[in-house]
Amino acid sequence: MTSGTIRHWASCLWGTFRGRPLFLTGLIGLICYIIIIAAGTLFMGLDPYRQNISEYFVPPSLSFSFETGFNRFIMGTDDLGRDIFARVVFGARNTLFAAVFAAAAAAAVGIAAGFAAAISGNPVLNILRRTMLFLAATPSVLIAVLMTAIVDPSLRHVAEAVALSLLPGFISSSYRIAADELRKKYVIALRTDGAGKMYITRIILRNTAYLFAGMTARAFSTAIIDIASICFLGLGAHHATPELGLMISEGMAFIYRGNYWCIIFPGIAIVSAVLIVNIVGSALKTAIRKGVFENASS
Amino acid sequence: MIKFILNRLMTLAGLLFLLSVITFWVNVRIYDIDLHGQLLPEYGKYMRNLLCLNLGTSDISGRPVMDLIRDTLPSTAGLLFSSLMISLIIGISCGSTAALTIDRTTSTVLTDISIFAASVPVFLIAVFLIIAVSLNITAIPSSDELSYFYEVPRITAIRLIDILLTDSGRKSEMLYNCLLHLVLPAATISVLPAAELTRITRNSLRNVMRQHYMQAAMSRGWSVFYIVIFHGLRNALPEIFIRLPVLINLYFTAVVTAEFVFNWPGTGNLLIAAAQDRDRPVIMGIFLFTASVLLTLNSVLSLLARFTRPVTAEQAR
Amino acid sequence: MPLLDLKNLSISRGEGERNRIIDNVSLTIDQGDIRALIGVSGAGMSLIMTAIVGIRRRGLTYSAERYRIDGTDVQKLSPARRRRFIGRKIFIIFQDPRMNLDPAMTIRRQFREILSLRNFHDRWYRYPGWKSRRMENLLIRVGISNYRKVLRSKPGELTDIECRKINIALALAYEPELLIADEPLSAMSVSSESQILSLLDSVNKNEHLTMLIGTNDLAPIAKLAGSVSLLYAGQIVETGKTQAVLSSPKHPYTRRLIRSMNEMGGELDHDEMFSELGGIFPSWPELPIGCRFGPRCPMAERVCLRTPPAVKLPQGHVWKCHFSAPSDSE
Repeated sequence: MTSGTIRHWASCLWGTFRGRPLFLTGLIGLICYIIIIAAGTLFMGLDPYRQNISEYFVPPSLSFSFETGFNRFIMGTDDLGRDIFARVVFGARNTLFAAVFAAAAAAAVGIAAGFAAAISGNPVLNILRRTMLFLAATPSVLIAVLMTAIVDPSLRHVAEAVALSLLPGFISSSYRIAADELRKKYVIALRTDGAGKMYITRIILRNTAYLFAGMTARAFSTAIIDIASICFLGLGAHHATPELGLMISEGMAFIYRGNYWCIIFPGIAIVSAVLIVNIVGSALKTAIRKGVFENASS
Repeated sequence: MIKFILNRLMTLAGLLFLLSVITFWVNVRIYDIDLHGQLLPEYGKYMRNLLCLNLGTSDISGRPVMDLIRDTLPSTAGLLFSSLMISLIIGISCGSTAALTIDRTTSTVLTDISIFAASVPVFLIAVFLIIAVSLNITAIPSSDELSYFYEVPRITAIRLIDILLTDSGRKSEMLYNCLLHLVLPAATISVLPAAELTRITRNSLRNVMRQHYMQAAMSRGWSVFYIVIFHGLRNALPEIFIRLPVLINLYFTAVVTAEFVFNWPGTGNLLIAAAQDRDRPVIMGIFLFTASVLLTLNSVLSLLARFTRPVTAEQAR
Repeated sequence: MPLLDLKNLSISRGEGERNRIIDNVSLTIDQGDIRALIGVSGAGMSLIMTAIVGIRRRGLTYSAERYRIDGTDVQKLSPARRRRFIGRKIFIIFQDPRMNLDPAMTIRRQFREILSLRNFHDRWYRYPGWKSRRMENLLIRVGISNYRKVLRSKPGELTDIECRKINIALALAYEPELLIADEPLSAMSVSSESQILSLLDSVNKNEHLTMLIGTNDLAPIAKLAGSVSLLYAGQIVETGKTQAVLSSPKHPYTRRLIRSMNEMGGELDHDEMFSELGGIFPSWPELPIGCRFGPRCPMAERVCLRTPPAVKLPQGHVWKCHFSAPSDSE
């Protein structure tokens, strides 16, 4: 790999983000998100579990003075006096990590399996991917419910359930993409020239990488939504764990008292995360496509 | 053609079999049943029970699971049907509008709204609707199917139809009340599928409109409405059908969440309650039932997709 | 009175002459005539033909000095009436035979659609079952003998030439006044080509259907067409009766064309001819000013940077060149 290639990729990436203001906004959003979560969990000494019984239902306030720092509770407190900002930050971290795990696991296994089925033409794998076509619509909630019958609920199990629900989609999509690519004339030409399976796999992967990037990004955002939904239904994390869906479920009872901030902030966190992931994922897809298909000199 | 149907049926049968094996294995695990090497007889018993629709009895209420399902299913069906209608109508019409007005801002606005709506989880929509609507317009209720005041005998167990069938004097009152209760849950469930449908219809219809036969038809001066529906949508349907299974996934999650939030007496609510109470037979029973329904639905959809797709020249030769 | 009277149609992508993809194109077609519009694929034929039927592309501006069909000024009509008026008078057939037909509909339904919507109810053949009789007769007319099977099929199941014939049958069912065909003979074997040619000829003679045929190969059309218009890079360089243009072409481009055709023994190979001429085929956004053939014309001079005037001979032979009577020893 020459440095020219790295420069090419860097310029493609930057060019794509610069090209549309939407992408740039998404990128900035992503960076802010990551900074907030990283800073919040590592540096700011926030404790999402600490209860201040005397200070429950404090509405959010944004007063700031240079001596004491933020005057406590940017986002208010909940019914047990826990700092909502802390809970949102830690909750976002939990949800996002779980979603990353779920999407990455499903993508890794799914893409590998789909590709293997397409390229090797193994009949067993063929049967496998045929069945996956059916399961493409497995709702994660269903799998999560089944899991509660077997094991005690926890965030990790939720992530596993979501990964399982994403898997068939990956397998069938990657099979279809690989099979379509295999039918293209340049691949046929390569095969008649005697190229080996590994080589063809590499070439096809390179040419379809952008499609997989898009799929994975969409799976990631779906995972975020699914994990939050499952925890909202009470099938996931343990009661006190900060998790965005759970917080909204707990906060629902309080809206009748006029305390909206218990659900607004987690809600904003979820929606913004999903939007950012979708936007940045779409941008990455365009960038990778440009990077592969456009001339290095452009 | 027949080969295709048989193929699909066999795959369906295979998957259902697999499903029963999985649930059997899960049952064995949960109850720590010692098989003593009697795997097949036990499995045989299990299958026989399944085929007689005996899904066990609830740990909590003691009633047979199948009865519980039978009690709650019609409510879910009613909810499902109404939201299906709403999301189909909104989704396809918005998608078509977005495809046809592709140059004007309406299209971009519609597309953006649909993308945004697809990013919001169902429970957030439910909560948001409750805040926005219920707390301001107290007339629209946010829980249950019907107010406690009214007594409606259970005939079909679908509240709306039951109301129509009674001969009580307050029929119109009850009907109105029932419809009011339907508003929020149905609206919640319809949002995500409508957004997805908009996006799918828009893309599919755009591709179709670019074809020459569409241009030719437009040049003949016929009514645009007629052309779009009879030529445009007819050709856009196969692509839509292919993507419908994803919608089913969305629907399931949406129905369960909405029933949970709005306390709607449906099967989804039953499922979540059982999960929270660890009522294992009910969980397994509803899981089995729902999974088989979903699998069958998937097969039907894929058959439909195959049949509505016009034969391409390659396949005919 | 000519059937189609189109004067100075211009289609531009922006301001100025360089952005005018189609530059002041005029087409005057008489009733019962077959006009061949000859041009290379990039010359703008499809654009002109779709513009005539009212299909517009995004981002392009359309303007015409005069656009009359059968005496009626089309531009004065309201948009809705214009669409209906043009639609009733003109029928267009696109290049790909299968793409003209709705892939989801059987041929029978496509016929029914035309026969029902076109409102033939005021004619004399309104008896039960007239539509089926009519569509069968039309299919036999265009040379499809197994009409029962064809009517039952969808376009995907039929061959190319069957589709081309069906398109012509549909046009006949539609009973327009003008038939516009975009490259109806592309990618066909010689025998199929002659089938379609004779069919078009008989349709023109028997049903008196006026036609505008766009093609890039003059040779097969030469016997069919009554008059030709030659299109180069969005400008019409010469128009006239086929006989006149073939025997004494006036514009340098036409002369080159006819000369190549005669040298090749009746075949026209644009690529060969263009490579001989040198230079490149101009396309947007590098369109030349004035006469667009100028950069490659052996007789070009500075004056060719200005739009050349139209030189007219009697009998409607018109061409645009600054040098009105080039010597025949070219």
